[in-house]
Amino acid sequence: MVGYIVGRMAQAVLSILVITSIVFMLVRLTGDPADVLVPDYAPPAVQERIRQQLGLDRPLYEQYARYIGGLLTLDLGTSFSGRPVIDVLLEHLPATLSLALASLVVALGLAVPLGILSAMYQGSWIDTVARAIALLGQSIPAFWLAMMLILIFGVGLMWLPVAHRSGLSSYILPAIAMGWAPVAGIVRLTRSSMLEVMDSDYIRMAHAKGLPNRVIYIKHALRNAMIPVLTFGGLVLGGFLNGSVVVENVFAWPGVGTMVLDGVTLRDFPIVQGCVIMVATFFIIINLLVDLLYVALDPRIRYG
Amino acid sequence: MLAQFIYRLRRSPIIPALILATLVLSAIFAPWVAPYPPVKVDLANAMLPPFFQSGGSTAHLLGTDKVGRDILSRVIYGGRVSLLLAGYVLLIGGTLGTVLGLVSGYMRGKADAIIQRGVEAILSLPTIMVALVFVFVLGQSFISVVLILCPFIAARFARMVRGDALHIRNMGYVALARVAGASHTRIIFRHILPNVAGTLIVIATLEVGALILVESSLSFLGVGVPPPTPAWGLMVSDGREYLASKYWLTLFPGLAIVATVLAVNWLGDWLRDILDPKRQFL
Repeated sequence: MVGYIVGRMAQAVLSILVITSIVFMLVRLTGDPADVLVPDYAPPAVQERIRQQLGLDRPLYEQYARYIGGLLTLDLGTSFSGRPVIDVLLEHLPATLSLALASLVVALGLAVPLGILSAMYQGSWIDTVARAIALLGQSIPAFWLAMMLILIFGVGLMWLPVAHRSGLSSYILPAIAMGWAPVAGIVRLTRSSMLEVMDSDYIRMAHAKGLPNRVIYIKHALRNAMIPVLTFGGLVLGGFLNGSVVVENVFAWPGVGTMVLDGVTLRDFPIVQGCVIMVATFFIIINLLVDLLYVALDPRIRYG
Repeated sequence: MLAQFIYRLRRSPIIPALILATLVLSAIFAPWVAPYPPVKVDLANAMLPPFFQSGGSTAHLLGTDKVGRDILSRVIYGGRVSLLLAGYVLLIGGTLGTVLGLVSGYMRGKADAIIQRGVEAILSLPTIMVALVFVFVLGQSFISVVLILCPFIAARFARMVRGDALHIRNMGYVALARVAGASHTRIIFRHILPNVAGTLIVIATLEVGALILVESSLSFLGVGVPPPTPAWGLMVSDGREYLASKYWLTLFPGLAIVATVLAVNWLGDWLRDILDPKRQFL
């Protein structure tokens, strides 16, 4: 057990290291960042000074060593605007994380009941509706759904705010736009997981004891059926961090997605580097936690 | 009556097949089907609404954009971009992934370990974030979008095909082929590959939908296929600033994306049910 956890953590650290290296190399291949910051007509001496200030005149391996060293102390470098990347990140992180959580609530809140119902009433119209929603969920691009939601609820009905992060109501549209996509997967998983549990001996036993259906479904079946759904929910959360670029862009949400897109446009590579590494690290850590949670929740699973 | 109708629909892919056939044919024959060239600017007729609204005309069925380009024509040509791109990625990435998956599952041992670590590393990357960075490295073009998406598709194919190959390599006929002196290459391509064909068709179909979604997202963010190419994501993005007043700029290209992806996923689901009854949804 301890061996499994240690091994799994080592793997996660390795993944993070690989990703940081790839990003480091990629961003440096995009061209000389000094060209973007300094206009062409600036004297060469000025260009040179800026390169020196940013450490861009050093050999690549030295930049890399300094970069990895910095990462270990949570020093992600300095943005070209002069602020430490970690400060900018911490400023944008709450917006992204809170939106991701809100989207998860929307996704689970919609998908889990639907999955349970379609398992309880197999082959009925509820089942058909669930399948239709699953298909639709996978087929609508988040950016377009976001714009249609804005068009209907923001512009047409004027019920909800359409941009920026203000009160709770500003979360509704972006959370639906982002939470819609994984609904399909969660419905399928909930449904098949419920069906599997319903087929087990202890549920048959509960039926034999004469327990009412509602008690059997909610108290006995649901608890066990939720294990795979919970862990999938973790993966979905990681996916939201990736997808945040698109949805945040539409809603002018002041999160990490907007930040990375701005970074790409301005060729502010410490920013891009910091964002992608942060998102990838979160993603990997979530995966790790999901795996460990799985072991903790289901006593039947044991890793040697 | 209705239930029976729905049941029939679920068991035959007529609707998605029709949608897809229309799309593919109109994309192939776009120069003949589309009423105007997709980049033809006509400032006198800019921002015309669709024909069913007052001010619209049947000359531009779905209206025109801010420089008077015909929306319908651009939607038709946009299908070319999306379908071609998905086709290239599947061909290159899918082939690569299939070969890697076959080798990984059949050879096992070191080759398997190395390939699988690589696959895991790629799958743990946030796709859109990485694509953003890649596009800036390679420059914004059709080819760079293809190249960025290939590794992700290859990784998915490799993982799925490996699972199948692991199972098939233990079959009696593979053992017999080995006894008969067949080389590893021959076993992989003559005996294992034909048996993963079903899986390949299902993943390929389902991945087309995912690919079109990612491609249109990249175009939407302004890092996909460069303008003035009529890509659907780009058209939606163009309509953003006029969303409140000129809804048709975003509505129609978006519907085209939804219809295409829906048809492909529907077909993929159907294929999976037929080819692999164990993984059925219903």
